[in-house]
Order: sequence, then C-alpha cells, then structure tokens
Amino acid sequence: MKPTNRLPEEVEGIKQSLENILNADFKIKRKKRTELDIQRDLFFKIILSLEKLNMRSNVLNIDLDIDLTKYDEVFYDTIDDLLLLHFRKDIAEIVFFYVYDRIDQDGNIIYLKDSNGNPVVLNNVNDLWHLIKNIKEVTKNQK
Amino acid sequence: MLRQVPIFRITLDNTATYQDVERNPYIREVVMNELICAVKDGLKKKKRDISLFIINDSEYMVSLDKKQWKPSLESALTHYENLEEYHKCFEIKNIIDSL
Repeated sequence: MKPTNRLPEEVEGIKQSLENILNADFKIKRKKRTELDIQRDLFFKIILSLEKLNMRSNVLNIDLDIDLTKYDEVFYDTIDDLLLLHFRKDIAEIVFFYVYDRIDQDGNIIYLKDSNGNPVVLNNVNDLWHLIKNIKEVTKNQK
Repeated sequence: MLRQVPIFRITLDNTATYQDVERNPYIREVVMNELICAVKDGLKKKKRDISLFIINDSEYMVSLDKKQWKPSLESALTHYENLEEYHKCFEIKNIIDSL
C-alpha cells in the first residue's frame, strides 16, 4: 500500500476553521516527535484496545450468553498488573474505571469527582491522558 | 521570554461542526490573542513564519508565512473594533505598522 500524504480529518478541519477566523492561509508543519508523543500514541493504542476487548467480552456475555470470564480472567489480571507496574495505584485505578466502569449498561457516561466534589467527565482517551498528566504534574509540584 | 507553541485542543461531539468552532467567541478570542503573541515573537526573532498552534497533541502544527501576518492581523483588528476594545486595536495597529 502506498503511503498517503493526506492529513487527518481533524487537522484539516481545524486548519480550515483557523483560516476562516483569521482570513489567512495557513500551512501545516510536522513537528519532530518527542518521547512524550511516542508515549501518548502507545497509551492511546493500549487503552483503545482494552476498550475493544472489554466490549467484545460484554457482547459475548450479554448478546450471545457466552461467559468467558474465567478464561479471560488471567489476561485481564495480567493487563491490570502491568498497568499497576507502570502507574501508581491511584492512577491505575482511574484507568481501570475508564476502561471497565465509565459507561453504564444504558450507555451513559459515569463521571468521576475531584477532591472538591466537582465532576470530572472523561469523554474519550484524550481526556484520560490529560487527567493523568495533570495528576502527575500536581503531585510533582507538591513534592 | 521563550514562547511555547500552545496546543489547540478540540474534540467535536456528534452534533458539533467546525463551523461551530469558528463561531465560538471564546475560541475566536484565544486565536486572536495567540496571533498577536506569535507575530510579536516572530518579529522579535526575525522569523519568516510563525507556528500558531499544535493541533490536538498531534505532530501537526499550523503556521503562518510572513506574507500572511498582515491580513490575519487586519482580521484581528476588525474583531477588536467590533468589540470596541481599542487598547487591543492600538496594539495591533502598531504591530501592522512595524511589519
């Protein structure tokens, strides 16, 4: 397959919006990928795969009445342990919440609450990434 | 002071469009403000183009060639004239004159 030079849709959309706001022609440049970019992409890939796996298990269980909980348990435990190995416990628990509990059976998003009782809504993996980044920043500054 | 290129972070939900992004007064304000900062920085560092935003944490950045600075500042000028923020108009007018 040939590599494509087409820009992602969101990049095109935002470029167009900015051009319309400022009545000017923008150019798109690619910045050099940093270690953080690589980490973020990997994090997105892992979380999206976990969501897919969880959804697949739910579909099998609810729609087809096939219970693979016992069979899957060892995989999930391994993944959870790897997350615990990488993140602190409180952050790993937010990831577990995001993957397993964020969406209820009716498809509604359940939100977290911060220490002041304000709702923290995680609409997507990008929100999760930034929440974790913020928690890490706050903890770093408190030290 | 070293200017850091900010991240323009937008996630559209199912009903929102990029037209909504353009019309949003808060977003327009952020864009205008950043344009002023970026052009000032570009002039100071004698740049031929300025990077305005990194898009959604991606590897892509939107940038403006020097020949586009004037028309975009003129749009910002009109924006602040409409808002009757004359101190901003004065600042932008000075930048345009120094191009």
